[in-house]
Amino acid sequence: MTERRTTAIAAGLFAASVALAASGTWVHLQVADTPLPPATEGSESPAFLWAMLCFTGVGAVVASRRPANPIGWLLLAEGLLWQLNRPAGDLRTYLEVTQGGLRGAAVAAWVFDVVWIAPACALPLIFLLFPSGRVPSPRWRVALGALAVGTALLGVAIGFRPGPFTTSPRIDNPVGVPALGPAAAGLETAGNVLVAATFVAGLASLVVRYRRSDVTTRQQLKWLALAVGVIVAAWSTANVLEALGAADPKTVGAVRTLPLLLVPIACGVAVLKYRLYDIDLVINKLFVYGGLAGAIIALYVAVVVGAGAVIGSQSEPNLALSVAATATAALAFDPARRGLQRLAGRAVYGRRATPYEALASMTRRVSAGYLATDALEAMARSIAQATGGRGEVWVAGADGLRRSACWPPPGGGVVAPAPLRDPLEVAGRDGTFPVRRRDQVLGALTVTKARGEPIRPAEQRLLADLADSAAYVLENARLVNELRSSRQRLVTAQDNERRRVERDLHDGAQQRLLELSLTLGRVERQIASDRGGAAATLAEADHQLRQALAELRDLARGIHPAILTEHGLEAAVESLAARAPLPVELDVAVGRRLDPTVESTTYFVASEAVTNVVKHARQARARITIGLTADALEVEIVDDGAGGADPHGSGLRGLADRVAALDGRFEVTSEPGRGTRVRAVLPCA
Amino acid sequence: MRILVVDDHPGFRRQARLMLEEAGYDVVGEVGDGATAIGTARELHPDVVLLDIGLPDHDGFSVATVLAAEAVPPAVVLISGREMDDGDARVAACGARGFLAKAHLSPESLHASLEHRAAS
Repeated sequence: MTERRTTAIAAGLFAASVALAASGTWVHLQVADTPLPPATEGSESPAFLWAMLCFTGVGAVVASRRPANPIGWLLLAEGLLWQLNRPAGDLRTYLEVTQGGLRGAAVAAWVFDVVWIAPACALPLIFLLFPSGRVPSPRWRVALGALAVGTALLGVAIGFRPGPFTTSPRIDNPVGVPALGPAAAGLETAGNVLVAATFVAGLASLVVRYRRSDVTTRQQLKWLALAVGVIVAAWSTANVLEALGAADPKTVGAVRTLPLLLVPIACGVAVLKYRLYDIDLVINKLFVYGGLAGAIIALYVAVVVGAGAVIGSQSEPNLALSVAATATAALAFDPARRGLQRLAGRAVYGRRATPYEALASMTRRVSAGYLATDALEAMARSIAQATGGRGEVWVAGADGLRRSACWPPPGGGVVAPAPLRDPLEVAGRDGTFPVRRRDQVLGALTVTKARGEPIRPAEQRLLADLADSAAYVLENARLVNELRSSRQRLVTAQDNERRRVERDLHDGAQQRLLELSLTLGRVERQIASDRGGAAATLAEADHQLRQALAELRDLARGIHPAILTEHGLEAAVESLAARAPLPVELDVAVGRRLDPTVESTTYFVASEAVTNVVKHARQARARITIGLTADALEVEIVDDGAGGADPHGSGLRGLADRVAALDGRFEVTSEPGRGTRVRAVLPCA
Repeated sequence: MRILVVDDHPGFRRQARLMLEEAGYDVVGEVGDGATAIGTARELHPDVVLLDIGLPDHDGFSVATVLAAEAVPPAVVLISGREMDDGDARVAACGARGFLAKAHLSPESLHASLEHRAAS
């Protein structure tokens, strides 16, 4: 079905609902002054019919937006069926008394007496299917079956019961089945039991669903839970009012029925807009202010009535007592509000950890986590549990702060990529706690609480403590990330190096040897007929062979210079300077052999730096300084070339990784026009 | 027999030209890339093109395919410094007469390659 068609059907049903409310009102006005025969029940005020537009209106919107979800259609049916059923009493009276037509009146009486079964039984169905439109698990289908059987039993027992209608004793059921007579009462009881059981099952399914749900579904369920809570409270109040005889039946009826309207509203908001309205805040405030109002009234009553009884001044108002009660209530207001706020917080967000628990659990979780990402998530979780808000952990990278963990996880449990933020901007916000080590911002912890709920001073202190303890976790995460990418770069550099060697071999020595092979072939053919030519060709072959050898030597030196292995760093760097096509000044004082890895890394730092000078500034001069300190070898290559070298280019990046792999330090200073300075410090014993 | 030598290494081209000329072939030209090879072949109409597979602009297979579509296509013999099977499907698919490893290139092997395919 197309979306337009669905919308048209939903709108049509809503229009029918308006028509039913209007016609019901018209009929009601026609019979308003007609006295009812004894024991006959009449329709209630048409206000109920108009209030049902709430069900059909929300139902129509939900059905058109989510046609596959039965909740919208159920809400529509719920409203329409009540609107069909309730005015039928007036219609019956109208037809019976005004028109004298008993036949039509019998049909209206049947609708009035029987049709209420359907909307009454649809209510537990809404609870069972809310919010996804499916039962929580396959075993809950039993409840659906029981509801269907119960509804059918009630329909048969009441719809086909022979004799006069319960609500219209003067009219007989035109479709009554005499044979059903004795069994009808039994069937009705069985039906009632089954439907009542499914009503309880419906409420239980909401609880089960809540416990198994993710954050989103819980938000949706909270709306319906709020509605159900108000309905239960209203029904209890109505029962008390009825028992005390404190209100007229119409008021009692209104207290019972009006809160039902919260069901469609809650369903609609939950299904369509659950992210828009802050349900946590609504429940929280309701709890706090409802509780506060109740507590103040109770206090006031206790002081005025209780103390009045004790001092015997019950009959007339006592000004002193009233003042005392007001003062007590005023004094108790703020502590009571804070206490209730805490209770409400617990009711809505669950139990919050104490500062000590939060710190301890974070340490436990962080040390249990193997991967850095686990540790970050554990921190976000600790923040959430300690504050009841949403906890986020931001880690500083080269280009700002990136959200690396969030609890509760958004939507499907995956942390959505968040934009990079400036550390200073984050540090300046409320609910944001920068994680620092010395003066460096390593990241930030943020907490976002429900609208209107402030971050309490105790939470501020706790988060500041968490941020202090987070420094080592964030530093660890940063180092792990750095290690991972440098390892990746080393592998890539190694692969590139292998490819380069293969290419150099193929284009260099191999081509020379192929030439040599052709040349020797020529010699072979010349030798019998043209000895002079053969001698010249042989000389050519000799030249090619020497060229091939020189190229192989160069290549080998690029992989690992033999002179470095045999004669050490000083000799190798001297040879490097001698072969360089630009003047290279040397200040090398090592004096002894070092660890081969340190020697080769130092050599390649010098060699790559000189290559870069040659590549970008042929006219430049360079100076290589190598010296030993107590525990390190320092190498520095300075040139007066063009400068502006990119330290993130593959060559310099590769050197940095090589030096870092030996726990060394690597620096490049290269301002445009001011030459380049490459410096490495390598620890060595 | 008129031959065009196509290879991006000047040293190898020179030796191949000398070897073939000493064996009595007429080397009408030598070029270093695919695009020039196609242009030169159209201009000089050689009988044979000795065509390196690893050229800087195109690979030898695609150049051979273009040459095979000419009105009077030359016989193309592919060459390479890398090892490859003469029966490689790509050699037949591009319309070349045969393949010779550079290390085995000689007037005799070229002759054999041209004869072999011509016979089959």
